[in-house]
Amino acid sequence: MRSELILTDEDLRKYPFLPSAVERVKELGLTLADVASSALKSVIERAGRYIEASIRNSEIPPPAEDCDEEIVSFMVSLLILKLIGDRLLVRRFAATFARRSRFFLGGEEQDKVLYLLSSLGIKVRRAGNAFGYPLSVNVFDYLSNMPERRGSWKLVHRIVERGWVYVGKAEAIRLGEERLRTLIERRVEEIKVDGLQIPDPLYSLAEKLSSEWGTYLRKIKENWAIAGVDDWESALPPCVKTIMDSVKAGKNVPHSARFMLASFMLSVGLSVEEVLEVFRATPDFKEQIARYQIEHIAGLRGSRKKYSPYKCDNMKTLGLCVAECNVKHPLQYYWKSLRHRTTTKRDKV
Amino acid sequence: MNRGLDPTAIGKSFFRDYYRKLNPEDVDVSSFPMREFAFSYFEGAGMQRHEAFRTPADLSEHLRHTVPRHVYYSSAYYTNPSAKDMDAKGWQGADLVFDIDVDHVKTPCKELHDSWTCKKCGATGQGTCEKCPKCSSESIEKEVWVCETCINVARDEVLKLIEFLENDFGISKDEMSVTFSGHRGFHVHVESEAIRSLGQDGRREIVDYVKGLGLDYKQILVRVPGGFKLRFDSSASGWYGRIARWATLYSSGNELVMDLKTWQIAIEKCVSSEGAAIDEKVTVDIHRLIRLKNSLHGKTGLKAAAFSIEELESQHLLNRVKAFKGEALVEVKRVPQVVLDINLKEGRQRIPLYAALYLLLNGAEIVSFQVL
Ligand code: SF4
Ligand SMILES: [Zn+2]
Ligand SMILES: [Zn+2]
Repeated sequence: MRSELILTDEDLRKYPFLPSAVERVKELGLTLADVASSALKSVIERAGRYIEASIRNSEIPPPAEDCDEEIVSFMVSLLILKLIGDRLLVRRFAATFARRSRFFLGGEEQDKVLYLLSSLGIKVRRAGNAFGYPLSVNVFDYLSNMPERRGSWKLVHRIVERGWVYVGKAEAIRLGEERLRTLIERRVEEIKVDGLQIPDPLYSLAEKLSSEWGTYLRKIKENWAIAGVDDWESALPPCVKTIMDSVKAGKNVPHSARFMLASFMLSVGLSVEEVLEVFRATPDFKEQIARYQIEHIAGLRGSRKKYSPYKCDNMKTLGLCVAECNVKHPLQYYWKSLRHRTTTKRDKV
Repeated sequence: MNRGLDPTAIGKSFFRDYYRKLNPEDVDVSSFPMREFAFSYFEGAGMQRHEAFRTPADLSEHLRHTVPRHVYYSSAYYTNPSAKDMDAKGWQGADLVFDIDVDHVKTPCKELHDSWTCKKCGATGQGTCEKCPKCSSESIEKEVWVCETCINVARDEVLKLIEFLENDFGISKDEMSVTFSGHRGFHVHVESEAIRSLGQDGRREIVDYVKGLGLDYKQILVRVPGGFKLRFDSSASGWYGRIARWATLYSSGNELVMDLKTWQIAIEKCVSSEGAAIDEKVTVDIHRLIRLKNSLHGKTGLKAAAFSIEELESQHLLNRVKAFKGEALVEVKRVPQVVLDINLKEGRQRIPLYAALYLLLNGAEIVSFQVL
């Protein structure tokens, strides 16, 4: 938080989301029409590549050589995302972009990390190597941005002192990545397009990307149609249905909910592949990790223990129960409604 | 004066007296217009939700007029608190709330005032019970009462919680407020800018922390010659320091090196003694309705009084929650031996009015009730 730390062009190029980057572009006085003009064609192309990368869930390409070009490209990306208007895609983009920034942050000196995290709104300070930790982070910032709620991230396993949690440099950066994700999502949400004169080149790019995204989503949906039971989903108990809807909408659902959804689907006879498809929509989806976790729940790994979905009681304590279904176990609900369905079918015949 | 034996009518008439004297500032809460209020009444079941008031004066006017049996408000702040639909309400954040209730804590006094009946085989007993010892059924009907011991046990849990909030989370005492829940415990509210926007996951993590849930010895111990020791020395704050203090009871040398088994015992002991017995559901729920301070609890007639931390450490907490003065002559069948700070016997007796109302509202079998 030393004020004499001055951000260089190189910094703004790597971190085009920083408040001072926005300031700088304001000073340039660019209009949307300028951006769309042929002189700045590279900006629009770059923004397009960034969004395409997140549609395909691959890495965002490296930043432009020129700092201003990078900042404007980033801002144009956000505008295009707003025009496309799909939250799942926004989440995707935020996650992939934040990942690129984490990579850069990893190469920075500690003082700069401290400075950059503070400008993202994370309260962080030097810890003077107390207990071997270089930094400490405000406990509520830690809680809002912790990437996992188990293992070494779990708060009970940390040194927590008067509102501060000791962390290593890499951990601080990881918290920053999560924070950045939320900030990017919020930035897009806050853009107001009503009344903006959107130049044609921007518009047609948004349309093209939107249809690419649509194709991608349709592919996922097709994989969803599960052989055998048509209308499989409507038999789901309300709690599982709720989780599934959130996952499909690309929301970041808590670990307990993911566990429930995966174990439930496995219990009703879906394959690891099929479960994997469902989770593909999650913003931080990483196929290898997800596969590992699902196989673990299926009992194909580790302890070879097959995990069963939670009982209603557990669901209630976890805050995942959303209705009073008069059953003890969500699976019970599922089998009941399936049975009901087959009998009514037979009645008609 | 005999008010007849319609408990609802009697209760309501006393509640009416109480709310008539209540001042608007007694029911003031921060960001008042952004809160949702909810009421249930003496007449009819169900709860009337999604109410909002401009000022505390409007609310106290409403209380005087309608004399509710229970009054709740939202821990959440909304842009449009009277909207019925959650999305339309516009959630803006929520206080962090903890609920401590002796229902979930072992107390020595339950034998004296609680009883249970098995709905399946009819077996009965004193104290509390989760599973019928005769037929193993879990459908148990419980009759529960509160006494001074219960309140003191709950208070001790509150003090443990406050210690966590202050020393670990760095929350200052003036950001916390404690209110009596109206029955067997307390609510601790934390109002701070840093916490308002915290989501469910973050709140669940706080729950796990103050209860010591999920502590994994593999994470906090390291292998050394001769056994295991804590990853950080006893000067580390958080659970490390707490566990180190307990471990000294189990370790012979002055180096805290012990085998895994002993560590597990020490850690379990530490967690069960130092963890705060809070009800996680309440803390995790960011749309929760909570009893309004200084309103009356409809099953006890006790006041949800606010306590400062200093007051909590004082002797007779119950005196602060009694809402009614005077005495009554009551005849009760099948009484608990003790309720609140009063010992009861069978038959007709003269007891303080607040205790008599408690018996009446909580469903004791009252044969006669006369206010003196
Ligand atoms: S009652 Fe059981 S099945 Fe129904 S929503 Fe709750 S947890 Fe799910
Ligand atoms: Zn029984
Ligand atoms: Zn008691």
